[in-house]
Amino acid sequence: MTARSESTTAGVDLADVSVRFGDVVAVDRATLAIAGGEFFTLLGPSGCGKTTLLRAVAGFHRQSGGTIRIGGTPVDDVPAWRRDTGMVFQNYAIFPHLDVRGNVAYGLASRGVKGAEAEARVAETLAMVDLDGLEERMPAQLSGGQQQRVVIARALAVRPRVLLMDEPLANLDAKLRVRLRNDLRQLQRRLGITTVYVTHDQEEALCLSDRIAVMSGGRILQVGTPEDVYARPAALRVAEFIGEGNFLRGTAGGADGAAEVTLRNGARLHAAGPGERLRGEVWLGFRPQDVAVRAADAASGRGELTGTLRSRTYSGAQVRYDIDCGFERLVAAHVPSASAAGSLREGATVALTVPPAQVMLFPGQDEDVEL
Amino acid sequence: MTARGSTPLRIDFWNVVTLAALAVFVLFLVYPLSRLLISSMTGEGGGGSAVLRTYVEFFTRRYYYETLIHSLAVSAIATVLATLLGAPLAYCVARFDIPGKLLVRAVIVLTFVSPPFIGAYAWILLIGRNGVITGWLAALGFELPPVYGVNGIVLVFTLQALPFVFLLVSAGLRTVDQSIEDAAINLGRRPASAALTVLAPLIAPSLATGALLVFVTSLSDFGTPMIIGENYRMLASQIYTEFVNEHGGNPAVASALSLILLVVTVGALLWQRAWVRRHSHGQETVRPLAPRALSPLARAGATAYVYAVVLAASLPLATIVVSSFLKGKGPLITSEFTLQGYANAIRLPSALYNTVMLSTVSTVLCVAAGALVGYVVVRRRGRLVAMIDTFSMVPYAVAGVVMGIAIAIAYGGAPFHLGGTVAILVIVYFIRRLPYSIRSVAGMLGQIGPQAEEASVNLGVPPGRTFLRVTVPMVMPALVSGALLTFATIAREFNSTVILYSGSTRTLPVEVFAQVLQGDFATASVVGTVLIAVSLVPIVLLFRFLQKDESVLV
Ligand SMILES: Nc1ncnc2c1ncn2[C@@H]1O[C@H](COP(=O)(O)OP(=O)(O)OP(=O)(O)O)[C@@H](O)[C@H]1O
Ligand SMILES: [Mg+2]
Repeated sequence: MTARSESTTAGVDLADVSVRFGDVVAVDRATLAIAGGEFFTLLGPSGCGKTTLLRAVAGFHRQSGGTIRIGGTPVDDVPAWRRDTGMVFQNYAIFPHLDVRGNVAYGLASRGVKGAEAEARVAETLAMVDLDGLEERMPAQLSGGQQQRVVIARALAVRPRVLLMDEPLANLDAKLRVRLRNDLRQLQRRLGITTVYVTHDQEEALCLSDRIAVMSGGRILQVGTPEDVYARPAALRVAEFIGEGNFLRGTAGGADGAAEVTLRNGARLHAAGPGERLRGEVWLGFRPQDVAVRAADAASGRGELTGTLRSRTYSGAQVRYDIDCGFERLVAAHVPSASAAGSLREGATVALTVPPAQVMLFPGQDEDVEL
Repeated sequence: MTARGSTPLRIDFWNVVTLAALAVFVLFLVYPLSRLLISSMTGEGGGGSAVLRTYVEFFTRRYYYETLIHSLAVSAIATVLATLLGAPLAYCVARFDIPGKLLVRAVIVLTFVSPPFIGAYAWILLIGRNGVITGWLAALGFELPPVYGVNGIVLVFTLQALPFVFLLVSAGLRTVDQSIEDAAINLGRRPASAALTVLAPLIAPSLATGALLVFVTSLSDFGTPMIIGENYRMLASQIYTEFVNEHGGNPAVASALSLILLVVTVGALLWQRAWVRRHSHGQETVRPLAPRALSPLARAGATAYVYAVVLAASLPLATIVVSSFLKGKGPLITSEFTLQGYANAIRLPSALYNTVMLSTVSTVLCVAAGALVGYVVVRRRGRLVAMIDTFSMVPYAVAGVVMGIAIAIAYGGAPFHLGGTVAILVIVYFIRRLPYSIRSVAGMLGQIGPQAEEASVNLGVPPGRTFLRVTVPMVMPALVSGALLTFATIAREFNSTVILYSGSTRTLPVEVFAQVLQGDFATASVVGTVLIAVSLVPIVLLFRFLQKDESVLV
């Protein structure tokens, strides 16, 4: 598929957009610049305002403050039916009384595309999502994955300037989700259409996106590439939400550069990852797969944690250990099953090391960690 | 499940209930309708050789067949009009911020429980020859088209059927997910276009059910044409006239006409069910349709529409209540306030007693049987259960007058001799309302699944006691709201009562009708007001104390 004839794809700009429902601030002063052709993901836990923000772009919620621009033009006063966005809803919202052709052609009629031209457009769009030949089927005769493809085709057929997707894969089983995810990525690349994608699945966000905005409690915490948000989280909440992590309280000290953090059990760890310059009360974080585990009898040295192995969970290539190091929470470590450290027993005394470059620090005032 | 695979011959609690349910339908439905059929073929007099003589006469003599044509035409027109008025009404109330929504809903429910034909004489009071509004308009130099005859019948049928359409469309709209409408709008449709292209097809099954109810109710109503129709002859009123004719009546003709009406209504039901099966789409509702904001002008327009329709639909009730406090002179109501009407209505106390007593007894029977049969229909399998399920659909399509005549023929004379007794009225109320009780229990049981009962049986409690100790408490809300509704609908039951009552079992609706026919409109209003109050009590209980809304009515 080449030229997008009616409208060229367009960027989306949000400036200080807030959406309120009575007293609830569902979106709090969101500012984003989404470039034309970009695959942009809103990622965050349930209830953080992703859907609300997406629906504000589609025109279903009037924001209580701020401006939304599509292709540089403010759309605040443009009603939803003239915004020219193609939306894919979480629960499909397939029209159950129309067959596949009727669903895909639905938006064409309101744009004056009729007859043979509409027919050709339907065929072309269905081919894009590998549904050719199913034109006559009713939705009830389609699998979940096929229904999802129909609604994607329905949104694409009108050649919208922006594609908006609200957890489009959430209702599918795991295997299908991965397959459709890849198809979706390729399709988006091929069409070059600006896509705003909502998900609470961090893996999905990391695989699909050019950039990700991590949201929490209505706020945008960080905008960046998948690598940015994973490896250099800007806030404790971001680190918490993306990937699994161990987060411990401590006091950072030391000269310039890397910090030496004294944890609540007295152990000390070097931190040379993001936030290494912070001093004083901090949250220290590292990923379970960055932890090296070995059996230890003696007391710990510097830069090490010691503890008692509380549980061992085998999951194929990896073993997960939960280790009691004297903190409020157990420390998690992922170790290759085949390695020497992979066969430790519950109850064993172990020593943990983490490469300083993988140790991140966050300001200590973020008290309300919910792991 | 314990039930599967058990043979019908084994005596366990549920097999006994199943057989009893079957017996009930055979005794009170199959047997009376069969007697009706036989009666229609055994009329005496005339040639007497051909069993189908009455039918041949019906379809060859204009005097008879024009009643069918009239009935079909008027009912069809009323159905179309009620749908055209009622569906937008339901949409406006469901989707827009109409001020006083609660009042609107309450008024619609009130018109729902008001007895049939009440509208007919109320409209005569308002816009009849000597009507109040007629008088006002005449003073201004306007003249209304006459309300008598076919115009009046269509007016009354349309307005009294509005609640059916309103309630069913409202229920239908509750099953549509907001995202469906959003998708249509996102694809470029204005809200109005989205409503027509997406919402309307999705609620079509509810709309069809509402239309069927309007159609069947209109076909069955003979009080209205008798009061306002003047010489416009319709099938149901012809049946009534043939049956209760002063000079002995003609049961054979009445039976034949009843069967013709039965064929029409059952045909309509079957056609509607087949249509719905083809046009219903399983939908899951995550987020029901939310109210839409409107521009001030559009909101004012929608509000005006809603209030105009609701006012027209409720005007008859208001007229009756108000006129019950006014002094009457035959068919004329003066503007003089009086409570004398209540003192003068000498038959009011006994009619009130009869109505409450009959409604209570029939309701208790209906709910008890409905719970048991509802359970059987949902939880048990087999050919007998399928038969029960089918039988339980039939009363929906049997007009009250037809059921009344069938029961009168079957139980009025030998060998049962129940004519004129309380029992015969209880029988007809019971069989007419049982399907609604069955359906409400079945609906509830279908939702909660058999696990709790299975757990109870597994713990050693036998099926009968499990039903009492586990199932009944679970379906209690459905039972209570079902009971209140049943009470309200039996209290207003007219079409079958008027066939079967006697001097000692006269009910409120019958008394209103008698007074109207005698031309004593003031007394009719007094009795009518008491009847409205009686029907209102259960509805108020339902809404106020059980926190239900009008969705329980469908
Ligand atoms: N119509 C509404 N009225 C009131 N509050 C609302 C409304 N819609 C959403 N909210 C609130 O706004 C917040 C954000 O909701 P939103 O649906 O955007 O969350 P989300 O991030 O999409 O969550 P999920 O992943 O569960 O879909 C929530 O606290 C929600 O309760
Ligand atoms: Mg959401």
